Amino acid sequence: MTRLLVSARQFGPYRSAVDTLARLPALRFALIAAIPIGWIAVANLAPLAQMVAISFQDRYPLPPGEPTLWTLNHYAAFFETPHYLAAFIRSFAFATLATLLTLVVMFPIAYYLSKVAPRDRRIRLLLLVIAPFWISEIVRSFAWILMLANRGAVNSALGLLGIPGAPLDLLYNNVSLTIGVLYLTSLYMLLPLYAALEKIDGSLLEAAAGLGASPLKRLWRIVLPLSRDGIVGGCTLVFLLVIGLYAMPQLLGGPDDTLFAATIGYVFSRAGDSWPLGSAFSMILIGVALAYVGLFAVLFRSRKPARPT
Amino acid sequence: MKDQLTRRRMIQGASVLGATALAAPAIIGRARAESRSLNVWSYDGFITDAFREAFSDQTGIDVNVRLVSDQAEQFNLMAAEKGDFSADIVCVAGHRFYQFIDADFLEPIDMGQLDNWSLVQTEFAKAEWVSRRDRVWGVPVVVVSTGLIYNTEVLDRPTSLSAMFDEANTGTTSYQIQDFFPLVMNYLGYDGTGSSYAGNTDIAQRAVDATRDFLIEHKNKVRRYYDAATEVQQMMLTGDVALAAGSSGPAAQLILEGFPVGFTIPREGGLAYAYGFNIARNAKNMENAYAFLNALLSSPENGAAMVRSTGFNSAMKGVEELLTDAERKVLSLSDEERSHLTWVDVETAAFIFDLVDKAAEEIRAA
Repeated sequence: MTRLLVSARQFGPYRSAVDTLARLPALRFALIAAIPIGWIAVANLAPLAQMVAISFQDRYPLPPGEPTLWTLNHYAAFFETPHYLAAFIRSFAFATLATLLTLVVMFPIAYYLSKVAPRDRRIRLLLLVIAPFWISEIVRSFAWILMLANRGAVNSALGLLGIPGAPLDLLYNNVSLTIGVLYLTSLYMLLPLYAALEKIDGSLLEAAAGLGASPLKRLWRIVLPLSRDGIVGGCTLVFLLVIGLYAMPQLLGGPDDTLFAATIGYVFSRAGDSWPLGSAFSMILIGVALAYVGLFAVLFRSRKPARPT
Repeated sequence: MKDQLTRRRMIQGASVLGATALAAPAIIGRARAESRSLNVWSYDGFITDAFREAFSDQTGIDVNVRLVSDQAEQFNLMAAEKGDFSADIVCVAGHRFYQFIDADFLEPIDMGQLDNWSLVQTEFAKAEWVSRRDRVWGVPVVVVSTGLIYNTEVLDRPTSLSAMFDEANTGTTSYQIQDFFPLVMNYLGYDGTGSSYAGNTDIAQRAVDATRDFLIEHKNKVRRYYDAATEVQQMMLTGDVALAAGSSGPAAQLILEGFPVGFTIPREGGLAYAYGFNIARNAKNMENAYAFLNALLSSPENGAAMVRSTGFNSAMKGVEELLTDAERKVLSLSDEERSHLTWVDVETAAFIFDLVDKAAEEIRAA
């Protein structure tokens, strides 16, 4: 590699380019940052910016020759229609609950993988947990449908066992949706938790145990405070994922489980000029979700230790 | 240093690459336009594999099918493409027909290029959902009737739509909201076709609002709202749903496959409409599109194959003779049931469906 770089310096343009970059650190930074910034601008911000613009337009797509009229009506429609507001509140309540549930279920697993499992088996166990995520969300949803349907595996087993009331209504309600969402989001909670828990120095726990701290006290006073960054990161990821879920609630949810993201999808798929309304709803969802997560991050962020005076 | 990379060479190379990249869409677009291909948006089963392969063998034209699940999806995709349509042929339902024409998405059929138009059943060839402004806008292919699909092991044949709102059927029904909505409007004494409300949005809105509130009130009867016909078939098979409002096709397919399913038109009425293949405005493969439509209309066998793969009745002459007794029995309706069917009023369909679409979102969100 060194020889290649030395030979490359034989070429004038390369040499002058390298020298210029060495002289100007700002240019160096700009060049390195250009690709990710460009990607974010084109792939993420440009569609959002277009959507913001559409949300204030009276009609879109416009028939040829018609002027653009600007309006706030589509934002007002959200507050004027109680059914939309109901789906919006339902989405936030469900996302919060699903996030907490995912945290409760995944924390012990992350703790086991990072602190209890033998070090040489951790990667294999982690891969075992990650393996289902190599299959798409849609396929996994259909797997749950096969499991939870009236003539599915679970109800067939309940029937064979003679459980009274079988078949139970396990599908197309908040039970099936919660199970599916938990399954979908568990990886996004596991990885930040695992990373945070693995960093905790085992000697701290040993010292606490040696000083007589109970397991619960060690969890409360050492493990939870030191894994706070992982908890905040995992919860943020899971919450944002759930609040924008579209396919899984469609497949596993029932008539009372419509989330706001699905409502936005229906608005967009309405034949006609409903894109401004869908865009306005999308902006409201993104704005409020980011504010909600921001508030959560502020409340639970790691506090820096106070400086000794 | 003959091969040395000079600044001039680098700029020259970059210019060539840049020009090629900029010209690529135009080059690819032209190649697509001149290609031996045809891009069709269609519902599942409307173009059978056998027909597609035979057509490709005979003409050398590859048919690329993009499956769609509803009319709004097609409409929005076409709206997004702003006149530069990637589809040559789309599949428009009679009740959305004027919406597509008025949005300037369709090309009128040049009857001089269509060889076998006489194979379309006479009553459909002149129907108002085929022609508008004295022009023909598509080739009708299948005819759909909407009614009730039920599990014969769980329920007796329901004769009224009231079964959908019966407490005994709580949590066991399903429907596609937009398709069911006009039937419920009729059930509640309003005009589901919307024809009597033409030009009077306030009265139509009140009727739609009342129907919306009624459906929200009876939401507990619904196990799940569906979008695609295959979903209602799946829910019938898994035993999650015993009664559904739907179209004849999915029910006929299940009956022919031996599942305990029945289909009926309730006494409050059902709607009938047709699907057709329509050429997109300024289709890039216009000649190939006509070749496809001519091939489709060349033999009633094609219509029979479509009936078998969709479960819908054919709009082509001579198809019924090609079906088996069992197929004919499943596809036919009794005189009484037939008398309950009304054709969608295409003139007012777009007007009423605009209101129904919004109500459907609210029902789901509620």
